[in-house]
Amino acid sequence: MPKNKEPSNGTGRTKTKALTRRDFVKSGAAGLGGAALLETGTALAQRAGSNAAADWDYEADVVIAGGGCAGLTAAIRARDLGATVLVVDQNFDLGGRMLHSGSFISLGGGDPVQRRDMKSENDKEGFVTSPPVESPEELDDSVDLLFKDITDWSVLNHRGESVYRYNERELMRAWAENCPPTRQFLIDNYVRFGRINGTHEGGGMSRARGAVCFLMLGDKTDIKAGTITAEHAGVADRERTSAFAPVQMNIASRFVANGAVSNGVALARSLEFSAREKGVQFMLFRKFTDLVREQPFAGRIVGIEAEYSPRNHPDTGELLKSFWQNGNVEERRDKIRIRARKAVILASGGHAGNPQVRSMFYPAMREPAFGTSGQALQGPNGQDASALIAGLKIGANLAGMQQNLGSAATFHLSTRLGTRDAYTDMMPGHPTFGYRGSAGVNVGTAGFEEFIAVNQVGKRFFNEVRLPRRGGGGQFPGGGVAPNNGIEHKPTDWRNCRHEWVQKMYTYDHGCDAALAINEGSEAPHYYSGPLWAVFDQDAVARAEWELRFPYVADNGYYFKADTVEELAAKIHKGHEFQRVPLKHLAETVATWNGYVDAGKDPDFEREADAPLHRIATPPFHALAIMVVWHDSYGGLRVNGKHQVIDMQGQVIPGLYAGGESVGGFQKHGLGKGHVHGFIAGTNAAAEATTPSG
Amino acid sequence: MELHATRIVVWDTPPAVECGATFRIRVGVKCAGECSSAARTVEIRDANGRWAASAPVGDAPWPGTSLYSTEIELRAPEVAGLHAWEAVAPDVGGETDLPTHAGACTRFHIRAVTAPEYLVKVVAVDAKSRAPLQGARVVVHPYRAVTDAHGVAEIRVPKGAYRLFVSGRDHFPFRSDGEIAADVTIHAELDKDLGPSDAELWS
Repeated sequence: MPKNKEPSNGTGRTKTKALTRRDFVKSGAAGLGGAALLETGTALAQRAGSNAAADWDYEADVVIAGGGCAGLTAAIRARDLGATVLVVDQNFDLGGRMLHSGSFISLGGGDPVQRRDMKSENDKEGFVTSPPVESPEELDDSVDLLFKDITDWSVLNHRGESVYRYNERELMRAWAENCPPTRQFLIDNYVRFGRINGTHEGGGMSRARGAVCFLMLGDKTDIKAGTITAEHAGVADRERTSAFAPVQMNIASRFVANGAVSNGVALARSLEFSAREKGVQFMLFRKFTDLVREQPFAGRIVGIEAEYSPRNHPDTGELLKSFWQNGNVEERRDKIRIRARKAVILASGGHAGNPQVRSMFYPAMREPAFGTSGQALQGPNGQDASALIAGLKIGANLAGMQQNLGSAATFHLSTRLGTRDAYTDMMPGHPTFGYRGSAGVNVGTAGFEEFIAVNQVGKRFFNEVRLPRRGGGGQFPGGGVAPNNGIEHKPTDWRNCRHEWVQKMYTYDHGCDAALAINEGSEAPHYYSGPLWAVFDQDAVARAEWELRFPYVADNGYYFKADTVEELAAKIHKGHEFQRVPLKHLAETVATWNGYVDAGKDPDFEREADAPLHRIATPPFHALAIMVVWHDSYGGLRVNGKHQVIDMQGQVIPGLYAGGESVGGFQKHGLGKGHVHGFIAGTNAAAEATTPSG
Repeated sequence: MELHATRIVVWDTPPAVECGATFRIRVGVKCAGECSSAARTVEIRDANGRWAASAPVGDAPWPGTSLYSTEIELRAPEVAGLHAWEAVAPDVGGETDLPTHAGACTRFHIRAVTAPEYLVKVVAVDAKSRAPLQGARVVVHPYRAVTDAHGVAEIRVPKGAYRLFVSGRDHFPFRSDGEIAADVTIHAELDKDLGPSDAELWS
């Protein structure tokens, strides 16, 4: 097993002995803690007697699988409405992928931040002093317009694919109606928004609806006051992140004011703080595995089963700890059962981290060499399709699996090279950095001029400078995907997708498809396409000024250096975990390439039309791994407008809700989808009648 | 007798040399078994396989590598065009108990060109800030140059049709195609690669 690679089943039990049920009862520590929490009257998750009819270990009104964007929102919402809430999460800390996100939340429908910016007002705390970015006309929104936008059959993206056509309509109406109250709900729970600036992919073409979340740099980190230290924010040192913020925060002066920093930390930590303050309880290291239904395919959902999923520090081997502890329920038994008196909400993420499940929408593509985004932070159980798998076991239906193919965000080729976790810019300082091993070198799109890209046998497969190009989605202000952009856009107009227009606007380069194609190293039965490599020489390093040193690269199998091309090929074959075959053509490919450079023509891929060609001749020679990142999940459990899960017969499964990337039928990138889902699910789950025990 | 493979690498080959002019290249060798290759002889053969030059490599490896190298002076062909030459490291050993080192050969190209006639001056700036771009690469195939602190580079070329590229760190290439039949100054405005926006990338 490669250094610092976590066990695929996530149990990691070699370094931490799991406590048995007997240990749990005998130790007293957990029991005392639980009793103390119960006495406060705020945290009501409790261990039911082991002699209960169903042998429940814990119970709460609302049990939520997943503490990310949908789960935390649902938890706070249900708690606000009087329910006791227990959240289980497979990871050591809360936030899911929201924590390493950019916090860009696209809502709309006339939401409070749109209205604030329309009037050129500041926020109530007076932090947002930069002028509005969008004009009042571009912010003048309504629920009806938002609903029309996100069901607009006529809008395509740069790949000619429909962004909104297949969206489930009841779900869309519910989402649109709940966008304004969800924005207010987030604001009421310490989330601070900068100016509206554009719209997220899938969030509609007609109006500006998205904003990032921020905190202000200060002497101490204080969520109530809205401040964060430079050290916590990761802006004190460009090569260091903190346990508080796995990804360095961005300077947000344009959208907020000088001294503001933004990204998912400002969102996730604020919501987490609020949830803990309000008495939501959390059981971490607890991977949701199964739903408990009264009968296998009938009756009410009455609880969940979850297993211990500890994660250890990659260097010290110690059990990782969440940044905040209040509200945590310590529990180390292998398997437990948790009763939900009112409802279960599934918010444990999508399927991007599960190659077998993601093959549902892309059958040819099960290559495990390419993981999901943020895998170091999330661990091997992140985005593992747990909600989808558990739902299928009790008869739930799926929706929108084909919608995964309608966005470049689902899988794309990263410009960050030389790291197994190519989506984030996490640096040393966060406890899971070791699982990443290296931060990678972000060469940008322009940087692809400096190298040739080869497949697992060492052959080029595409014009490198076109390889990372993605093209935009169909969102405000448009970016050329529709004939009219911004407020001039005409929703549901057939001219938006007539073929004469599509032929004009189609700009997608299929580099990612070529990268994942079968090649002569692909072997039966899976025919994996294998890893991808950027190969270049020392002159390229000098030209581009890439810093090929730790923490950007490391001896972790994703960067290699050698005196000759032949030796480089041998090192890659020996040192990379998914390099199954030798790069037998690499030396020949480089020699051929140098001949093309000298001739000034690339007959294979016509690269001379796009960028200058550079020899690969000066030693030492280098190779950085090129990664395809699997990010979004647009297909998942079918839900209705209340976010109740629907079965194969079209009937509601009583007591079961779902949100975020667990849910299918809505092709929208980003957090805005999950927060509103969580808000709706939390509202309706809390309103369920309490079921009798037994 | 143990047989070790030899690796041979050629670099610092000029992109274009005037017909008949002298130029220099660097040739490095190493033993695949990591024996020292110090003082080993390398030779250059022209497109017809004729000996052109030979020299021993030095005693110290090239920085950052274990290649032993030497710089060799050569004379370009009298005929304009692309010429495929070879660098060869002959077999060594076989007479003692020491390993035998197999020979190795690699091909490289010499672009012989006629005398330049016209000056192409390029002024490279960032398209948005208008700031001069130092260190931008200017390629008028086969000629190459790098811009100075003022964003300026000069290349002399014979009359003909050319494609000009100017590319810089974190900037997308600027391209211009045309006939050069007089001195010319080209203002190249390069768009910065800002990377994906929050809306495009992060959620």
